[in-house]
Amino acid sequence: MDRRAMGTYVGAVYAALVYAFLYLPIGVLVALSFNNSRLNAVWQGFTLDWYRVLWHDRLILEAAKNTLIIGFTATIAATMVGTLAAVGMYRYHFRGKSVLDSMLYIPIVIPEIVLGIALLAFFALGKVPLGLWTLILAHITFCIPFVVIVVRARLAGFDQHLEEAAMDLGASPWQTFVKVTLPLIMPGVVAGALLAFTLSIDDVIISFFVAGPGSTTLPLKIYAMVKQGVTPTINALSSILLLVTLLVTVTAEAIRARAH
Amino acid sequence: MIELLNVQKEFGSFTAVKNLDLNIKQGEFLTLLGPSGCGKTTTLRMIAGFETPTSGEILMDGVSLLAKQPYERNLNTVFQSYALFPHMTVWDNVAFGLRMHRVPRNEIAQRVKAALEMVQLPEFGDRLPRQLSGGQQQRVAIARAVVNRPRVLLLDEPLGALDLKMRKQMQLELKHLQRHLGITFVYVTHDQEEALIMSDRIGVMHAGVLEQIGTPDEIYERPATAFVADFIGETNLLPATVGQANGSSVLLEMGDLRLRVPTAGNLASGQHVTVAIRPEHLTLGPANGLTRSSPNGEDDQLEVTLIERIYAGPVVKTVVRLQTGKDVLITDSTGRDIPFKEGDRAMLKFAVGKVVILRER
Repeated sequence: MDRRAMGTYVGAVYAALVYAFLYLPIGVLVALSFNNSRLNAVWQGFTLDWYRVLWHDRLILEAAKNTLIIGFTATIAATMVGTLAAVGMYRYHFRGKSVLDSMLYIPIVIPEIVLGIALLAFFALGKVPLGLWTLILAHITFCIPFVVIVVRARLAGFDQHLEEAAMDLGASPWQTFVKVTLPLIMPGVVAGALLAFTLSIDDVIISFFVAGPGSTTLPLKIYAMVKQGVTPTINALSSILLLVTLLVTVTAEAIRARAH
Repeated sequence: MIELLNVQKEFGSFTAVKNLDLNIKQGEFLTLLGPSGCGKTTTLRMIAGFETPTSGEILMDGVSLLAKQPYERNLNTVFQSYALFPHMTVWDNVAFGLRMHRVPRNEIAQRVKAALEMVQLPEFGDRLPRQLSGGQQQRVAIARAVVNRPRVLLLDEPLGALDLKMRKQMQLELKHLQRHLGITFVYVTHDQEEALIMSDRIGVMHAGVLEQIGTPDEIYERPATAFVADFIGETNLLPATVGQANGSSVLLEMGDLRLRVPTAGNLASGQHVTVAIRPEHLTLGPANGLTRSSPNGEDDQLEVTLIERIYAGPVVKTVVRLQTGKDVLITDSTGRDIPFKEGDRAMLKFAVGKVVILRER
């Protein structure tokens, strides 16, 4: 074996190890969700029982429903607000813009736990009862900056003369936005929305602080269940969550790639 | 028809357009010409409504345009980048303005069809802009603007992105289109040849100031300032001193040379001025054939040294050096051979009527 072939071989092994490190735990989790055993340790044969158990667990279905309601509502609201913010920041120049602009991204960099506590304190101050609505508001809050980032990336290649051309041809600012700007940034808007959705459905930390009685989400439910030990049901539930997130992410990436 | 009155535009501390007065006449092809950063595009954008003047007034038919948004002004723009909507077909691009103005559907169909035929692209309605060549995109942009029958068409360097051959062709097409439609064209370019070929009038801008406005031959033959003389075509700028001035003409002294030049301005005796003379208005003659000084002390010839001869296709360029050390350019039609070689001495003769005294700024 010459040195170059040796190098290729070592590189391949190294890459395999890295990927194993990343994906082996997830693979084990998914595999065990089909394991016909109450214990996680030994493979006893294939079964879909754990998924069947999930399907008949009222509390889990309730949590799933909450997760979807929060996910969709927060995604739609954050996408609208985030898109308009991105377009506004792109189109207009004003005093203090750079400060406002950087403040948009602060929710991304501050620790989630701080944002969670801050929101809890804020709701307590306003005497807002914790529940589905506080969860939705909190999710909108941390989703907006991600939408803004994705939409602005799309706007970076946008020819501002297109908006001028539309107005020159008689389109009002609103018509210009609907007929020219929005269709052109749509891949960014959709990708931003899908990103917001994945962030919302798997959020634990912030949700933990702002959830109220009877408004548990799936990740919170899993977290609560894990306290009593990792059961195959949890594996199955986690696998479903993984599948949904993966599908959404792949879709977002496909839309982004096709637009380029 | 469109009047700009004392229009000023500042971007922060930078003044893009200074005290601009401009009267655009109905049906004319007016070109704003100047180097990049001279304020010509800013002027166009203020007329279109994309920029607001810092001060001054813009009137259309005597009514202020400043209170109107771009979409309320009865004029259309052809952008340098074409700005065709990439997600719409050629047909939808051209129909966009008509749809915005709620023109009836069957009339839209007729007018779009006619507009595409006018720009010789009747078969291209279903294509997307990116499937067209640069020249074709250019035509779609023009069709998209004129289909709205604007009273004024604003064109911002519309041929800038085309190759030379396509550009020459489109220059004539645009000029013919303007004649045919009778629409007022306000055209912005930095290409002086393009301006001379296409325009009824040219406004030359420099550093935010309108230096001169006039017909192409006025601009070329009687440039008002050194900038205009230098920017349009090739020219020789020479320092001179005013000798005696008498009413309609003035005696200019340039070293040995004493030229009597007609003038309209008031010049004082002893004043220093700059004069411009085009290379084609200078000729060379043999040094020995000189009869120095005509009886009245006037003279249109000067002894020079020949420095260089350059063949440039239809013309031959000759560089000669004056006794003051300044180089002067002469052009001759190719084939009219001059019996001199480099280093020879010769007499340089001025076409007196073509000498222009420039206004000081």
